[in-house]
Amino acid sequence: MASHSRIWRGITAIGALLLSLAMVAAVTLEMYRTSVDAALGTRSQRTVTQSTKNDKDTWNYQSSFKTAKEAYDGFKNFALKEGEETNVLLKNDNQALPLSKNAKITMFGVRSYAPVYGSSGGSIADGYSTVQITEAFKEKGFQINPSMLSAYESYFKGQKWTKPKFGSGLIPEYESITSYNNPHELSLNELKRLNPNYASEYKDYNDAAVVVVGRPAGENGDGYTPGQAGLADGVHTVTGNILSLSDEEMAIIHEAEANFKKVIVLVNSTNPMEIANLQDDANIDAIMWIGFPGAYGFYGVADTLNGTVNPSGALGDVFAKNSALAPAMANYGNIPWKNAHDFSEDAAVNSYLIQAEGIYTGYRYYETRYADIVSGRGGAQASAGTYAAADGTVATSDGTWDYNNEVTYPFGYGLSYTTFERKLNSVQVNGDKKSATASVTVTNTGKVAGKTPIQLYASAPYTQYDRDNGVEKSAIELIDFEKTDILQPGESQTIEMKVDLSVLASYDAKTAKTFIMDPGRYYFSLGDNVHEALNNVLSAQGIQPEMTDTVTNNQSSRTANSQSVVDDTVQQWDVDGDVDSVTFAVSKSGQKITNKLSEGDYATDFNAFQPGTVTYLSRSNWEGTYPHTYEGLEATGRLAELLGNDFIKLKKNEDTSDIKFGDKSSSLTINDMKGASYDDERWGELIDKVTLQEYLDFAANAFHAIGGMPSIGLPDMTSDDGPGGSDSHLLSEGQYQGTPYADGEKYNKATRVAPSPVNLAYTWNKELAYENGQILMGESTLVLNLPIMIGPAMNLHRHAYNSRGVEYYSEDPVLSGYTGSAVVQGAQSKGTLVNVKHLAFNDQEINRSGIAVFMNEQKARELELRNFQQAFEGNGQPASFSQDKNKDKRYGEGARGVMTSYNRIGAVAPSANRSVMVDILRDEWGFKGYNVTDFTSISLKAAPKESTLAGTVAFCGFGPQGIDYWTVEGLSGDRDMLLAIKQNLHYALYALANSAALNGVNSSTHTVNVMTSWRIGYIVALVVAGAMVLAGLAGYIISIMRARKGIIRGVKSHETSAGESIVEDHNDNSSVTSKERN
Amino acid sequence: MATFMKKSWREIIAAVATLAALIIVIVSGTTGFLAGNAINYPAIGLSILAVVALTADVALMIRGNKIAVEGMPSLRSIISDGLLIVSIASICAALAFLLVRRMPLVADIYFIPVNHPAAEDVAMNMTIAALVGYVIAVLLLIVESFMSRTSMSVKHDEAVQDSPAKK
Repeated sequence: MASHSRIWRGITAIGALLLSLAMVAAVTLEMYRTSVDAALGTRSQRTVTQSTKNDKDTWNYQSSFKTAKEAYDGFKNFALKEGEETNVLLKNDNQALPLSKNAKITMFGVRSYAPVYGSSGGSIADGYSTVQITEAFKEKGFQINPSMLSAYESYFKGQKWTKPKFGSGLIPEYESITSYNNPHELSLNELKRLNPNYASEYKDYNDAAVVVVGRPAGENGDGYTPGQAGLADGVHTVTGNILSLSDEEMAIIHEAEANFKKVIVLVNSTNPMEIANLQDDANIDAIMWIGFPGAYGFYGVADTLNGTVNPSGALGDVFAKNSALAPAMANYGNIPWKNAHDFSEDAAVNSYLIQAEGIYTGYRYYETRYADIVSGRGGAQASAGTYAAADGTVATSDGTWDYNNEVTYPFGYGLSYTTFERKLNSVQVNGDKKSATASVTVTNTGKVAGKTPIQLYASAPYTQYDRDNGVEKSAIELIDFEKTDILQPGESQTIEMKVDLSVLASYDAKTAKTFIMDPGRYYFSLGDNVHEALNNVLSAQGIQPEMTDTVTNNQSSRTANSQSVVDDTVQQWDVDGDVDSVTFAVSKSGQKITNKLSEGDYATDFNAFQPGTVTYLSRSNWEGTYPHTYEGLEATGRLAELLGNDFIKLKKNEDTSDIKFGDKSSSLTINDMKGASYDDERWGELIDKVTLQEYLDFAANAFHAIGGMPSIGLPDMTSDDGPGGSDSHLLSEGQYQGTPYADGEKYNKATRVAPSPVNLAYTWNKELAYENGQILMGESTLVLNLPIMIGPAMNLHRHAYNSRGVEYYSEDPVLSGYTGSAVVQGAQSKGTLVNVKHLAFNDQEINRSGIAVFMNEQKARELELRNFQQAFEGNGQPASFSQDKNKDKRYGEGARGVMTSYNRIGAVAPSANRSVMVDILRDEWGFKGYNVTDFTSISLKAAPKESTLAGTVAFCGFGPQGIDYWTVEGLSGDRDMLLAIKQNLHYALYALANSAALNGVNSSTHTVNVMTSWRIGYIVALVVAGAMVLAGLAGYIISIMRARKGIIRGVKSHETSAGESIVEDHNDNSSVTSKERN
Repeated sequence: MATFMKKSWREIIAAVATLAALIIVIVSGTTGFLAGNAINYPAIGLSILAVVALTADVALMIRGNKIAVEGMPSLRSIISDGLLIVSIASICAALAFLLVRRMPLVADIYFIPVNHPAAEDVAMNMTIAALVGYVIAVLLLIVESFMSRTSMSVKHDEAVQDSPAKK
């Protein structure tokens, strides 16, 4: 009996442990159910709505896809369509391209077998859908050299594509070759080892050698570093930077050159690569930038190579010979505060970034310095280490800055298989000088059909006023763009472009303290690229062509494109009078625009905190103001206080009794507000119903599962990361108007199938961007019931080295801004509550959480903020939309959601920077929507109370982390805080009511939990463990009772026989002892 | 004493491990990254209960003969077993509360694996240390629950008291 009781006791103990673990599992699984769903492909919650007479009102956003097959085909077809327009032909000597459709080719390079299909992290390409490069090429008719192919197949044999740590399905990349400091190219010896006969069939597959070189990119990790520090041991590159080609890559290229008459290089990178040596190499016949083509993009690449598709992409970033010499790179990476250790670690005070290059990033630097030199305004003299030698390496002695040594391919560059003639018919500036109408005619003068971007640039005068007031001016700026339809040979198309001239205004932070337009002569110019447009302007100014024509002279490959005729490509506009500080001094929302970032707590100009510290690059003195690295800065005084992210004291005892929360007197629900305007009078009544605790919970847990507000009938919601589609969910989870796809289980595919955002921008196609937003984000919302999608991502490319640049569009605020704006419009047309990210200045991944980013107000307003502004004001409408009233009638309603960045804006958390988040975003741009932080949780790095006061509606993460005041008691004594919460509720509920969050919601709507496999699992575990505990306890009690009976029987036995008896305790030893004593 | 230690070592180590875990829970929850967060009273309370129960159980073993009742030899054992079960259940519950409350910390690091403060890592590592303490304690007690649970002296006394022969 004793042994029985021990067993029951033990079972009880084990049961208790298992029960506790099962309970933990249950709570954890429910807490992270959306992530669990993503990992396991389940759907744990559904919103149920009963049909009513007004179903059209219930389902106010309708998916185009009623089955999983339709959805799969729809996403795929769009990806194929986008993939055909993204490729940029950079070089095409002797019409090496197109190849014949059944060309026999030999493919070189590790990336020719394992290319980079998409981002490594953050909206990765869907590995489940990916069609591999060799499969796509073969399907399109190319015959691939099997001997070479087998060498690469051998290398990757046994390796598998990467499974990410959370969600995102399958990344179509091999971990072994994915790094930021090593291209991992195979040497010829390695190829020989893998297949001794790798070269045996060169002669049989000699129509062309196709070499693929590439660099991965994505979120997470520090990204690229220039110079030796950015190279793994043993890696050597042409320019000494990781973005140029390694010795092994060059050896592969030389092998191709030595054995093939036609060599084609595909550049598989979204970070601009340093490939001047390829441009200059006469043995390389063609170069094509393909970026990251996505899951199906290599069909488009093949079709472009074989001429089925005429390339029509153009670079959205300058390709420099040595990108590390861009002035922005002087301040990049980890530059720690001298006294970083003085701060609480929770505040994430690590390093800073002084953007001393001012407005001169990307082409603005190269073209402006070039213009000044050829115009005789200086700039030629350059110090060692600040300019490139002819071979692209860093010049080691003082010398002469030469555009030809700096730029390989200018911004906007891209060739075609046909030729186009462009004519700027007229530019009519409207009376208020705020806008203009440009008429452009494009004629296909070649022999094959094709389409082409229309790039409209402008050059504003750089005046003495500018010099005196520190106003910088790019010599040339993109002000608008369009894309033609496919034009047949001889066909023309005329497009009327409505140009917003505010993108040409300069910000004067010193005297006017607002946007200004200088008096003088303005030039509007067309160009095949920015350099050509500038040259056209310079020619119009009387600068001799031989002085200006640099790129075109040394680029014989450009024969495919038309040479612009100056008279047909340039229009001028003379502005008389004084500096105009009125026209653009008031925003479209009616808000006066004045300095917000030049002084005070929220300044982004470091000189506001420590005057005279930073010298910004100026075209008035290129050499003297060229940036140096600002190292060893110390945060002191108010700057130090601000960096602590705890700079507004929370009040405890104010009378807040008049501020209503949880008022139950109204019957209004959020469903009654579906589609309501922000100014609808009923919002106050609805918001009063929300309890403070409801808001605190809603705001604190805005990750992928966002809690509803029962008091107003707001259902639970799910959100997901974009920008290229849903990061975590598959079509197998799809549904049409609440009914799961009947064929869902056949489509274990994601929606992240299109080319990268960089590719999208390089199409220069606003209509395509609109469709991208409709399909990738909009349909992801409707098919997967994800009302909130975190995207698009719109930070500018400050330089070439940010690995997360893959998620962002371009270096230019107009190309990026209008592309992103179109994506937003497309997404919102399907009900997506977009989270345009990351406002603002996420210029590097190194120390991204906490790095303090500083720049002068002119740079902030003319580049990054101007870029975001387009999306929040709904600007950049495609010409075809303004001419066709049947197109989206709501185009122009700005983005209704934003996600802030990790980095600080100036000294404070981005979400707490009132100047940007309130004065500019909400007041100047008229933003009324949902403002959520990046993944900060309610933690000190998000400065929660300061951010709440600055209009932050929610905090992405998992509740309070190290913050004790995020409670009803903690906040109820602060009047400003409660009023801000009321205001934030208004912003949030307005945005949600105008999104698919209420799609399918009517008075019958409720959410139901679905019995998923993992729910069954934990329930079974709970039952089994609970049964063990109960059984153990019951067994134990019974065994004890039996033991006691045994004792009694034993006693009786003793009394009757006085013979040998065993006292049977539940302890077997004691029985032995008793026995012994007997 | 040596006999006593030999017989009770699992409970003593379990009590020490639980105490250590308790201290780590308190320290990690009130300093560093989690300073200012709501204190995990359930985990703390249950840990204290477990330590008290274990202490009482060990004490009972020492003084078990004093409460052994003639004719009911199992009462001491029942009380002792009850204390053992209570301690196991308390530790399991404390472990559960700790896991649930600290899960966001783990998730925070897991979902966004870069650029979190070192203090967050410290908090997570301390959490893991506390979990290890609880797990050691509960495993030892589970083993103990399967074992004979009476000290030699008690056995002797009980045997003497309870033996029918003595009657």
